[in-house]
Amino acid sequence: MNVTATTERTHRRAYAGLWALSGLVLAVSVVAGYPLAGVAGFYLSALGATLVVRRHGGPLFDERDRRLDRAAAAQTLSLFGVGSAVLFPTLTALVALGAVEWPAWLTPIALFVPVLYGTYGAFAFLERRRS
Amino acid sequence: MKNDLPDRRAERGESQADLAEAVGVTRQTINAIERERYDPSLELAFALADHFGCRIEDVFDPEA
Repeated sequence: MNVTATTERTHRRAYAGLWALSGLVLAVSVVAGYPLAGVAGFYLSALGATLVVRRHGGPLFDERDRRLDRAAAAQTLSLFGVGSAVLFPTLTALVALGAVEWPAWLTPIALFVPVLYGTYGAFAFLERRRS
Repeated sequence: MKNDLPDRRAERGESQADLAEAVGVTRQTINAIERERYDPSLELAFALADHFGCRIEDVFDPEA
């Protein structure tokens, strides 16, 4: 293993870490009551991630990463789809029977799922028209 | 997919990083191809074959 290999791995980790940090900084700052500082921290960290890519010079991510991303996205969609198809009808039936109460925290997720699939459907339609 | 990239690299004294830079991908991708954990795209397979001055089927063996 040479220096280039180590550098590549370090830069990839730095890139992912900085993006994760940007989200964490924003969330923590908002919760702590400093939203503007959070936004500034978010963009600073995001800028750092961009600079890592530029500093690396060569490709930091390539076709293999894109293929892995596609597989992960497909699995995420399947998980949400199957989970929703099982969970929401079951829970709705149980609520209707008076067995359980609908958890309030589940409502945003229930609303998010059709938005997610609507977006997916729109992009799938566009991709089919383009190919 | 089975391939002889390590042998071809060794003949030229190239590292995985050298080959990755030559064909425009990451070293991790070259490593994954050599370990038969990733099948390259047709475009990358052509680039690799072109780099070694041979045909794709000389480098990759889908039957093995």
